[in-house]
Amino acid sequence: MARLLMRRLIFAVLTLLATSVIVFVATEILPGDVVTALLGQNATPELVKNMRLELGLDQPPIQRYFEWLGGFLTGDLGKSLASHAAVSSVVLPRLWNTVMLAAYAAVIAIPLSIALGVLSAAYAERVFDRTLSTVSVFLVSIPEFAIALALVVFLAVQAHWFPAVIYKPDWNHPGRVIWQLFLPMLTLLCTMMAHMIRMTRAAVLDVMASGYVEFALLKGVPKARILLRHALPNAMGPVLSVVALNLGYLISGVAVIEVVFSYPGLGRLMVDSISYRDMPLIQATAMIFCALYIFFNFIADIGSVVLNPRIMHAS
Amino acid sequence: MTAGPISLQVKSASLRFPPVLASIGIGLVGLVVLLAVFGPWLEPQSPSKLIGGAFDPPGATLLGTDVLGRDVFSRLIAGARLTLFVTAIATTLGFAVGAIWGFAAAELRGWFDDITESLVNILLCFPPLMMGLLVVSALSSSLPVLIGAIAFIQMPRVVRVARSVAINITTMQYVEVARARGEGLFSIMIHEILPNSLRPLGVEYGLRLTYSTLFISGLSFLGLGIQPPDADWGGLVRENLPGVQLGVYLPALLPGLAIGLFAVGLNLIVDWLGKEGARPISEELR
Amino acid sequence: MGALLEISGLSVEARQGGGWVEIVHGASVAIHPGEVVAFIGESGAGKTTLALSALGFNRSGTRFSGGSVHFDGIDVLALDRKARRDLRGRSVAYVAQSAAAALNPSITIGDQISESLRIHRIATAQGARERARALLALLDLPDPDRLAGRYPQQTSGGQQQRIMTAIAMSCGPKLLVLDEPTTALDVTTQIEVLKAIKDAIADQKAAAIYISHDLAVVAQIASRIIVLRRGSLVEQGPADEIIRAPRHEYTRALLSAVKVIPEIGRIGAGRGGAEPKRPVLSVQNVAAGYLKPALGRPLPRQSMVVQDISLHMAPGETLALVGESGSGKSTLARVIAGLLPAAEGDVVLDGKVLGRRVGDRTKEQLRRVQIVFQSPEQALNPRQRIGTAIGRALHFYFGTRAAERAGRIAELLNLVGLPAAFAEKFPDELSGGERQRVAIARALAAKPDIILCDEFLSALDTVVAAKVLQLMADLRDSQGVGYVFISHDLATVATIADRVAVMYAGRIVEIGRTADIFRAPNHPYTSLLIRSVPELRTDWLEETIGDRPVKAPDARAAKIAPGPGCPFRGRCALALPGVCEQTPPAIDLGDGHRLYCHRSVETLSAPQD
Repeated sequence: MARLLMRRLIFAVLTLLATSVIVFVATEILPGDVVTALLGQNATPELVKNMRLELGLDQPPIQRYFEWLGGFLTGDLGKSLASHAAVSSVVLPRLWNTVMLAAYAAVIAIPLSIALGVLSAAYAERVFDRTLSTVSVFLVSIPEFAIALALVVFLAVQAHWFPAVIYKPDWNHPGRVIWQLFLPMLTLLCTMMAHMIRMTRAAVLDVMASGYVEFALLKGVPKARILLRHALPNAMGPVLSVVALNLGYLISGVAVIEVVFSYPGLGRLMVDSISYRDMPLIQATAMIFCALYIFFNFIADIGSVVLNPRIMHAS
Repeated sequence: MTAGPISLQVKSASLRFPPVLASIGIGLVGLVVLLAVFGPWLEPQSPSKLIGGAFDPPGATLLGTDVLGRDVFSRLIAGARLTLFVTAIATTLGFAVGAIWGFAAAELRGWFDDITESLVNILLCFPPLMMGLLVVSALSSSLPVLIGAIAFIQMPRVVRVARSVAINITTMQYVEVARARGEGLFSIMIHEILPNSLRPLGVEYGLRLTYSTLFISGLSFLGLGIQPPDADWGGLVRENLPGVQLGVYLPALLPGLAIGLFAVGLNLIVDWLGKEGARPISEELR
Repeated sequence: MGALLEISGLSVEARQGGGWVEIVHGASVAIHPGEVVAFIGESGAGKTTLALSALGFNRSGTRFSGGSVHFDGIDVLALDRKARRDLRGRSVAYVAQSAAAALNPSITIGDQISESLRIHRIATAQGARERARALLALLDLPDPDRLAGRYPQQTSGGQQQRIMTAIAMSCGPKLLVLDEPTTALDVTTQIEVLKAIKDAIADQKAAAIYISHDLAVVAQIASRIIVLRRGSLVEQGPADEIIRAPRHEYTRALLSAVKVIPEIGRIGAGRGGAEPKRPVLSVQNVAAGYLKPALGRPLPRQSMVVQDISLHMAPGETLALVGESGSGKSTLARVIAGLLPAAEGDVVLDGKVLGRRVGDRTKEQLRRVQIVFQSPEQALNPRQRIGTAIGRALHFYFGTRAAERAGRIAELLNLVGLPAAFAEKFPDELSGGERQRVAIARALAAKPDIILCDEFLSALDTVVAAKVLQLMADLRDSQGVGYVFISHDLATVATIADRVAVMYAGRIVEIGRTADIFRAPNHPYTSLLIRSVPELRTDWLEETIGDRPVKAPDARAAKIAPGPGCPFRGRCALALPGVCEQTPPAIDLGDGHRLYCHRSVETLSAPQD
């Protein structure tokens, strides 16, 4: 098993390298010359040339890639073209904001989804399950910005219960932040819980249809014990995978929600950087997102291997 | 009676009349398709024509006017057309390539399958929205780029599903017989794999359509998808956001609702198609 | 003494399409304390459905629609959930057909045994552990202490089946329902498990329902036999009476189809000669495995599933390959068909070396060797009409035009005893036997010289299998087609094969004319196989098992890693330490009868025990 885990780890690292190539190439071929775009009206040939030298754009691309990668690994993310601030100083507070919002949602969503998914499987095809599945179908179908917008309209603009925009989360007052971030958190909950509930339910039901569950039933094992002792341990692998994948989604898919609430997170930063063509910022944000996503994919992978009893207790 | 092995095959003609929820799904999707196809005859106004002030309330026109004074209802129909057009073409493209690739990997196995698996795993490790944003920022937000990007993002997912569906078929003994007879790859894909994978592929196609719809809407909402003055449903939400502060909710909320209903419709159909294959559990455990 | 279990007039319905169809028709059965009763019949007879009613259990998609079930005076079908749970496991216990599926992979064996004791509040945690140990020992499982801490997937199939029996017996139930507990096992394992179950039942003085399709197995364990067919009781009576003097026609049909090895004089098709001088098909020193070679380096011999295989087949001959699961029989068939490329050696057809892969062979070469498989469910593409399936082969090999195809398809269907109208049907409208006939017709469409039959009859019910076997013999005589007949079933092989090759762990350990294979001298493995085939008499098991070590080593543990030396030495009663690690010499007994063993012919000729 150790070898299996090692192979997955190597794969994750290779994927991250591939990602960096793609991110670099994509940002390198941004349409139009970055320098001309930056200088705008003031672009004299002299200025352009100096700027290119300053940015190192006269170097061959491969060399620039490795310099960029090296800088990335040592924490030197370069300078923002727009604000001239160090990228790390721009990115880090944003990353914190995004991660905290995601954590807020995850802490509530994960236990709740697993519990609801298991209950849904326990009462499959009964009223509770049918209601929950129907609600889930609606929640996975409506785009997050529409949910966010509806929440803003009804709970913020009309009812004034929560703020509609969060320019500056107040981290010094946890109670206040919980209130401030309530609507974006609720939006995230709506979009990711449905998926997790459905997948948990499916994983548990799959196990419930197995021969050993029928055998347990014929041993006289009570239903609750069948569910918790016989079914759940065998369903945990797939469930954990789904959870990890959803965390990946949560981190890398929040851009839309951050835009709706004008929340100073990493996703909105990336969207803004794209419109300003701020290359170092795009590169940094894209790489952070990809790294987090790959990390959670890796966790999902490991989970499905480690929690598979036939692998864990192989001869 | 012994419990036989779980059949992966779906019996022919096992589709019964759809239950209520699936019928609603078919109705919703049908409605959107009709709106998209017959849009030009249904729009009361040209979707780009200024017919009044900004955010006129409903009355003179069915649903009032938008941020620039254009007819909301007409733009909603035009948005349906654009959304459906991009979604359908991108999904079909990604799906066709992905399915053929996945089938081939399942049948050929060996190095082709190994490479496919690694490649798919790598491609699936990119967060889809980031991929979309990167591609769009690198190239442009033109229709062909958007369609190509969505198709490309969908493709590895389709390859994976098509491959796993096909592997359940290619290990069947009737495929072994065909192979031993000397049938070629193409013949096996057409005669053996395809007819037996229609149901799960149909389910997957439905899921991919939903996904594409939400994806293009999200990009457009961020202003990086379809560019003004054209607007799909996501773009309509974006351009009418200023109304929310003014207390005019309909122009922004309606297109969002439309996306939701269309996706709900697709999901209800997918749910129904997918359910038929599930393994039964004992009634005593329900 | 009153009946322990009394099923009276029980009807069961199953959901089909939109409605309900009756699958058990008012069956009545009484079982007395301590009695072992067999339910026998083909698949779909309702054996399991009927037996499960003793636990008040109906499988998903079925329901009880009439009649009653009384256990120890309790109306089982009227019990509420709680009372039903109290009954199950404690008073009536169940042993499922597939232990691999019925044992929970994430719970230790010890915990799975003690669970019943704990939930029925029969024992304390400590007491349950001790009882688990005792039960494992009772079922002849080695090293109970260690085993209790392991997980089911870490044990062999035969052990899993015994573990499940131990679970069922944990609470000392008055009635055990055993659902085909040995069907999935190899014959050599089956006999041991059967003996262990039989002794354990006797030890616990429990009554039992033993479900099986195999009369010879049932004869060893049951005192009474109940014959079921399509949800109705056909006949019942004491076991020896049913076997000696069956009254009902269906019972007689079942009996005549029982696979037992015939007397020596009637073994083989009676035509078998020595090894052919001019073989139509030869396999020469073939080795093959499923690992992919890494970058042009040759594969290590350890990874080979079959190795050193050489065979020669005369035109129109039936050559059988026998051995237990994992012996490499099917792998060899796939190599011959070109589905799995050989890593070493050649397959030769009419003096011409064939390409290793399908793609490297000519259409004509492919046409001459056809293959048919085991599973009726998988034999035919469910989305293709029967006519299309057969027509495809005609078109592919002969370019037969659509107009002529219909006539030829009708001819072929006729040849395998099916009406021409079947061409319009889809596979799911056919029974298992009919599908296998279609599979033969499709193979015959190519006018082959040889048909590779991979466990072709194993999935069919005995009566149906006997008919298909007869068809194959007729076709051999009328069409001159030869068969490579792969089977784990020695009794069938004894009736159809001209020559037999016995395989163990990927190698041929003995080969010769069928009649020679079934009499001494034999390779020790061959004798073990032959002695493990149950005979149709009630005292066979006791007579046979007496001269065998009951606590046989775990077959998996005894598997020898490929390499030099006799592959069977880990399980061989005659193994010579220090000698059998060398490659065994070939002993030539004449007429093409060869076996590979270090022991002398005299030793091998003596009755082995």
